[in-house]
Formats: sequence, C-alpha cells, structure tokens
Amino acid sequence: MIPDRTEEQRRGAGEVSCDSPQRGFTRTSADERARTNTRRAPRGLFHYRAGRRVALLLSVLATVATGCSERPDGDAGNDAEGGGDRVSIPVRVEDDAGRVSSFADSPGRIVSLVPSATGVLLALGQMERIVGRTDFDRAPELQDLPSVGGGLNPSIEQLVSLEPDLVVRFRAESDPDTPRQLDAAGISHVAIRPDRIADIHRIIGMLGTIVGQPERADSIRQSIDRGLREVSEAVAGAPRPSVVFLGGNPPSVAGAGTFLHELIGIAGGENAFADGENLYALVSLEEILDRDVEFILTTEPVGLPEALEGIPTARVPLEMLNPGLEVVESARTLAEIFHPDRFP
Amino acid sequence: MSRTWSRPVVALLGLSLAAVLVVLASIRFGAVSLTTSEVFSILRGGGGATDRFIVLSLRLPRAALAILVGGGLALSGAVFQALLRNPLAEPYILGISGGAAFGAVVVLATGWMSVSSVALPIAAIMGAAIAILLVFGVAFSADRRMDVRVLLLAGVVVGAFFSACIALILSLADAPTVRSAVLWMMGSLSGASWRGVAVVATYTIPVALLLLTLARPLNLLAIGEETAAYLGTDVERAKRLAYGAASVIAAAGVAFAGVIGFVGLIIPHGIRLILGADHRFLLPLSFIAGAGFLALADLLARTVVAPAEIPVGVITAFVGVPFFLLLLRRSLGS
Repeated sequence: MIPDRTEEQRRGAGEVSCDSPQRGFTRTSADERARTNTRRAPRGLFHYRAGRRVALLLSVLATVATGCSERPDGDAGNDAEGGGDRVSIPVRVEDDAGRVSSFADSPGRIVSLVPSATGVLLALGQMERIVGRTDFDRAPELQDLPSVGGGLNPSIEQLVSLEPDLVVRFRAESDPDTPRQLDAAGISHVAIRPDRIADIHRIIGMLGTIVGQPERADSIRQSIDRGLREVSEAVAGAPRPSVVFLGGNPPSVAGAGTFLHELIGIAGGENAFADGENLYALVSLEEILDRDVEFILTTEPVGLPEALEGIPTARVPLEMLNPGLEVVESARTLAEIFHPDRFP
Repeated sequence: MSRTWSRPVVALLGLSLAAVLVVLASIRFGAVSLTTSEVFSILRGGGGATDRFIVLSLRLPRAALAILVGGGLALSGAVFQALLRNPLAEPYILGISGGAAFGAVVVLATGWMSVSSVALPIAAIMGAAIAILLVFGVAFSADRRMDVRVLLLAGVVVGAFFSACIALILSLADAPTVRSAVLWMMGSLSGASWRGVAVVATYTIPVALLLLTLARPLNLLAIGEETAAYLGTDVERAKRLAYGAASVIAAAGVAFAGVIGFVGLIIPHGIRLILGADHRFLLPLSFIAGAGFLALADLLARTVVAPAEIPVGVITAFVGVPFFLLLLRRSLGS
C-alpha cells in the first residue's frame, strides 16, 4: 500500500482506487511539465505480448471502469446529480486562459466544444451531464445529443438554448466572440488549450476537480503516465532514428513546440527538426534531404514530393496531431513504426 | 412628372416592405426553433430568460448589424461606381478590405485579442484608415486635383500590398489563428452585439445621410467632371466628400462584420438595371435593398446547415450572383 492511497481514501469518502499510483501527483503544472520531460529518458528493456497495442488505449478507460466497480457503495449513479460530495465546495479552478472560475455547485449540465475534453468527461463517467456536442465529436454515445456546430465557431444561439451550467471551450485568442457572448448570457465557461502532453494532464485534473471526481482524474493521469513509460521503456537503448513529420501541401515540418515532437521522443525517435521554432514551419526539400531523415510521418493520403521517395514513410491518423486520451496509443503506434523488433 | 416618380416610389415601398419582412423573419427563425407566438411574447417582455437572450441579445443585434452593414456596403458601392465611372468599383476598391483585414490579422496573430474585445474592430478600422490615407495621398500628389484613374490604381496596389502582408503573417501563424483569420475574411455577423451595432450606427447613419445629399452632384459627376464643373458643381469638394464618406461606411462595416463581398457590387447595379442611374433614387434604394439582402443572406447563413454556420459572404455570392446574371440577361434582351 502506498502512502498516497490512504490519503486518497481519507479525502475520497471511502472510495477505493483500483489503480496503484507509482508516484504521487501534485497539481502544479510546472511539476507536470517536468515529469513529462523526464519520461523521455530510456528506462531499460521491457517486453510486450503481441496484440497489446489495442489494450493500451483501452487500459486508460479500463482503469476508470474498474475504479467504478470497486466502489463499495456503488455511488456511480450519483455522478450526474451530486458527485460534489468528494471535494470541498466551492471549487475554484484556473483555466488555460488564466481565468479563475469558482463553482458553488458542481455543474449539472455541461457542453464541451473541444472533442478531446469531451473524451475526458466521458472517461470521468460524466455522460449524464453532457447535454450537447459539436459536429466533430465521434463518440457513438454522443450522437443523439443536439449539436452546436463547430467547436471554434459554434452557434451561440443553439449553445445558449441548451442552458448549460458550464461550457468547456477551446482557448483561441482569435475567437473573442464565444467567451463574450457566454459572459453576456451568464454561462460559466473554462478555456482549455490542449497543445502538449502536459496540457492534457492538466485538463484531466481540472475537469476532474470541476465534476467532483479528482481521484478518477488522478487514476486516468496515472494510467497515461504508466502507458507512456511502458512505451519509452520498450524502446529504450535502441538506436533512435531521425524522423520528420511532414504535413500539408506545401509540406511543413513539426517543430519542437508540437505534440508530435513529444510523441516522437517517447516512441524512441529523434525529431529531425527539433530546432524549429515555429510549431509547423515550411522548409525546403533540400533541407529535409540534407538532414538524412530515416522515417517520414505524414497525414497526407497521397503523394509526397518525388525527391523524398525511397525514405520509409508512415501515414498516421490526423488525430495524432492533437493530444487527447489516445496519447498512449499514438505513442505506441509510432514506437512500433520506429522499432518493430521491440514489439514482436 | 408622375411618370418619373411613380416607378421609384413603388420600388421604394416594395423594397422597404421586403426588407421589413426579411428582418422579421430573421428574428423569427434561427438555429433554435421558437414559435411565432413565443417570439411575440418575448418582444412584448415575456418569455424565459434563455429564449429572451436568444431573441433580444443574439437575433436582434444581428439583424440590426445586417441592416447597417448591408445598407452601408450597397450605398458605398453605388457611390464608388459613380465617382470612379467604373462598373467594377465596389466598397473595398480603394484597398479598404486589405487594410482592415491586415489590422484584424495582426490582432488575431499577436493575441492582442485577449486585451480587449474591441481590439479587433479598432485595429481593422485603423488598417482601413491607413489604406485610405495611402491611396488618397498618392492620388492627390499629382496636382491638388484627385485623378480618378490614379485613385483606382493606387487602391488596387495598396490592397495587393496588404494582402501580401496578411499572407506573410498567416504563413507563420498557428492553425487556429489561420482558421479564424480565413473565417473573418469571408465575413460573418455572428459576433454581433448591441455595442457593435451602436458603433457601426454612429458611423453609418450620419455619413449615409450626408451621401444622400450628394445625389445631385453625383448625377452630374457620372456624366463627366467637365460637364459637372460647367453646370456649377464644386467637383473637387464633392468628390472628396463622397470618397471620404463612402470609405468610412465601408470601413465601419468591415471592422464589425469582416469582408462581405458582392453586396456593394450587385445591389447598386441591380437597382440601376431596374430604375436607371438617377442617384436621387439609386442611393436610398441601394441602402434599403442592401440592408434587406444582407439580412436575408445572414438568415440563410445561420439556418441552412444549422447549428453550423456558413460564412455570410458565401451566401451573398451564392444568392446574389445567379440573380444578378438573370437581371443582366433580361436587361440586355429588352
């Protein structure tokens, strides 16, 4: 038994966390960032059974599911109503736009304009509270809910008519209208900006706090940590191939600030354009050839420039550009591309 | 006498009625379905808080903004076509859209947006003002008279320069910024608020009234500058006033609704094809028809694929161009 857990138990009114946390979690984002960075360091060889790839994605959700079943009093059904009995009220959170919001009651009606955050809410068992979706949400259980259109340019009218207590929105400096109109309508909103792995960590924690499920949020975060650690351990010690991510036409490369850069590192590769200051920069084909890249990753379905033919190319799904709960699966997909011998 | 006046008066009444109906429809319909009686009870002070917000704080300011911007663009287009004696002239011809879009994109890309919600309109107006001053500066530099050909060329070139600046900024910006900038440049009324409506109204209404008083000099200028001067018009003064006023209206509209194309081109030409080029009728009718047309386009923009929205500039082209081509064909046939 780990000291953390007893603390959780005290805090959590008898909830049993099924996940054994290997390290405790403090919620300062600086700490999280440091953690994410150190995770890239190789930790020794680790063997996998075949077919575990799918299981890895599921493990994130499975952790949560087992968490439910282990609850002694079966209070999962109360999530929609209360759920707030595990945290002190009012809840105060600072969002990614630096706005501090406090909630006297845990919000009962939530609309998330960011699909990855919607995924987090589902993983936190909050389906009952979600009252709307965007056109970009793919989860089957959401499809019967009314849509508010796009996440970046929702129909405010439709959004307001759903009478949400909380709107989770994408933090885009370029969209001042959505927050202004939500303020005018008196609807609470939190802004999130999932750019990197540390961000998805922070967002899971923030949403867990808001919906009164901090332990569940912690176990999701820990299983992401564990999954990523397992991937980096599996590829540890192997030679790190030089990788370039090419997107768009004309092709642009992913620089050091991108989520893909982090993923490539965890999966045992080396981003050939780690010196890129911009998120995605246009570079000349000459420059790409000059860097002797060993793998090309791309989301484009067809036709890379002729000059790059002959370099092994892997197509990755578009979702891999943005961090979400699938982060472990994405890292593993890349690791299998770079180091097939480590995944028999 | 009655022959010259009856047609325009009928057109005025008909277009006004159509515009009023469109505005009523745009309050009645939206992404959320409300019944007519619900909307009426809200307008009389009843209804639930959410429905009241939807009608009074979302649909009404949006309809008001559509009236001001659509009317302003059509009026401004009519004036530019007369002054430049060029059928292709439109409100943005003097580089206004390029300048305004440049200001907007700078704010979008730098994140100054978060400083204040009026940062974008202010920057757009400043960008438009810089473009106007540049163009006028060039046009005046020849000899204290405004040369229409120079004005036209300078406007196109300044617009192209700002377009290049925008392309440079966007090529270095991140994906959400590029998306927002592109959506902004396609025009949208979704950001409408009563404060925005108030600002656009303070620019548009007095300046539009001023332009209506310039109908006679514009009639003469459309024939030719020498003729106008012979007939006792202070040509330079009239030109400067009209250019300045039409530019201010276009700039105010572009700042709060983005770049909305075709209204300033199609509406004045449509009125001209039906009623002729007498500016005493053309100017007010253009305003009314432009107002109704943009309100209709915005109604379609937010209901056709609801709850998603189509940029209103797409609708103005989709609806306006076929209608205009029909009108053009008919008038050539007769």
